[in-house]
Amino acid sequence: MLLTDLKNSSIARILNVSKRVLKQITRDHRTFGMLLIMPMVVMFIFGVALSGEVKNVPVVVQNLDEGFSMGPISLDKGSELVTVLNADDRLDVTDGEYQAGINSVERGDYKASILIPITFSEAIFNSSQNLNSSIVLYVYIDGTKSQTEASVFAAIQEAIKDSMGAVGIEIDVTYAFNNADYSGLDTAIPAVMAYVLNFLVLLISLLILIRERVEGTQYRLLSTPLTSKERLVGYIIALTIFAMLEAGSILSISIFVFHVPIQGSLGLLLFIMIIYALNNVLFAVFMSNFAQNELQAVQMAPLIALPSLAISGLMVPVSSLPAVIQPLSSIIPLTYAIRIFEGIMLKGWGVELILYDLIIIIGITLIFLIIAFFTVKDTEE
Amino acid sequence: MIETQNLVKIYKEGKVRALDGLNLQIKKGEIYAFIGANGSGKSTAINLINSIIKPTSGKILVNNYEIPKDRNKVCSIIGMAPQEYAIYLDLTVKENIQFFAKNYGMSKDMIKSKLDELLKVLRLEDKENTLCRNLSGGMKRRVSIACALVHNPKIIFFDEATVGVDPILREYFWDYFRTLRNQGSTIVVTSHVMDEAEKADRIGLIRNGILIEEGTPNELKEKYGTKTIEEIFIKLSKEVYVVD
Repeated sequence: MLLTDLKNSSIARILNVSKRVLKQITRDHRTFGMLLIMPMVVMFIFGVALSGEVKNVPVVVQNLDEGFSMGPISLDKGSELVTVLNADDRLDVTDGEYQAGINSVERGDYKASILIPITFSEAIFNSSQNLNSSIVLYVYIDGTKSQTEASVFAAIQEAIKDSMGAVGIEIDVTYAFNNADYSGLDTAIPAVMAYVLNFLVLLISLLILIRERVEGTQYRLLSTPLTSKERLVGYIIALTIFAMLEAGSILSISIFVFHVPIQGSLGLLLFIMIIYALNNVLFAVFMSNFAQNELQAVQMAPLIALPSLAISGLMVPVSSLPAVIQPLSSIIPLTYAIRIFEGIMLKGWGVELILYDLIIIIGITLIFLIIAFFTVKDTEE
Repeated sequence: MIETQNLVKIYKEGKVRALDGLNLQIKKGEIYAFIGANGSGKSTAINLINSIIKPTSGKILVNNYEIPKDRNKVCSIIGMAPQEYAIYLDLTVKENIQFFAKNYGMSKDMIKSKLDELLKVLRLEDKENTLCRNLSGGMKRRVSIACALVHNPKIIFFDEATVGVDPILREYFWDYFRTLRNQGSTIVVTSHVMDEAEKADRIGLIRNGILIEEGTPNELKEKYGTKTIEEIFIKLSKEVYVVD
């Protein structure tokens, strides 16, 4: 059915719709103003406002400490430290090898890898006897999320204090992803970019789609040879072109205004932003089935966007969310978009490391496309 | 040319029975006025014939093609000016007409010549490049009509096309309807303004989704012994209210 519909479609008619929709977008000053001003306003608000403590940060801990015994004295400070770290709800500790932990951090599976060295207890004893000895704890950490980074350090320092008292322990820190230790704004921007793209493309697409219904032209078109599927494809083309502009605008602001570093490929980032924008266009097409007028659309968009904001990992890492809510984050495209944007921009990830998330976004996009094709009708009920 | 048999439309939302077994026969080359009060089912009937909405039951034939099944075969010979303006307010007069023309696969030359003709006939020549948002109600109505006529349709529906239009323009529209009829088109006009009906070749009076009277204006006036169609309408309406 779908193939026959597409075969009988006219490219000229489809492009006729696209051209007309683009003309309307550029003539609607409110929409155009939103396109230019909103990204800046929203990104400022969210970029600055996001902060807070996180929980269940996945870390790997390797305890090589052999302990220390001398006469009646027996110390096992490494184990004590591990016990306190395990009890801290900010961390989700996995026992593993330090080097393997480093690789996991680079892949994004863990946020830090901690090594307690062989002579840890001995060094603490020597230090307590005022012998010249340095106590070192090795930490390899993902510095691309300032909230997570701060929570890991706070947990380690409190654990040291609780298990060892006022002992001077040096923490040897190495930052993952080419020693990247970013400012708070740098780490917030990729997620904010994904959110702004999500929210604005969804809202504006929804408004444009609904306008056709409100003005009565959609009804009228049903009596012309233009099929609903042709109209739909025409809309998708026009809205995707608009969404590309939106993506370009957001990216330009990030680079030229916020000077956010981009470790990975800019081309890949832009490509994925466009795919993600298309995802939102198609979601808007789907949602337009449920909104009868502009007011409903305006109300509907935040209704979707705000919960996404809370559970997509933008405000707090997904691992810090309550266990019941975590599965919900895995069905939201924004979760994957944030991971990809952060991966490319802050961690320098290439296609191989973002492939899984990208496939999910493309998969959801295709599902929306199929739903859109099967829900548009040439005759209304 | 247009035939409906026991046409029923029940809207799911609100469970409104808009048409309750409508039987219509509209002949080729006539101006047929579909008259009834607001909510009597006129627009529903027009929307069903135009395959905009699906019937609940009954049959619709346009040029012997069944609607909505054979929609694709007839939609290019039908022109529809809906009750609302249903034009793109952010486009100019010319762009609106061009947009609708292209949906019918018309060539650039054809569009150009038809556009010039329609702008002239509908007195919109000096408004060609004006955004429709900035036009008066009457002008928007004319643009809407131009969009319905751009592909030279054989059957044209004007759904309350003269609502909110001043008497001079309304008279002009009726002159134009007659011109189109004389050129071979079939015109279906819906209205709740009774004096308009007198201008049609035949009248169908609809109430509660059923055709309650049909005939030429003179036939109906003779039958009911009235001077105007409006008197007939009021008479029949009173009967309903008494029964109700």
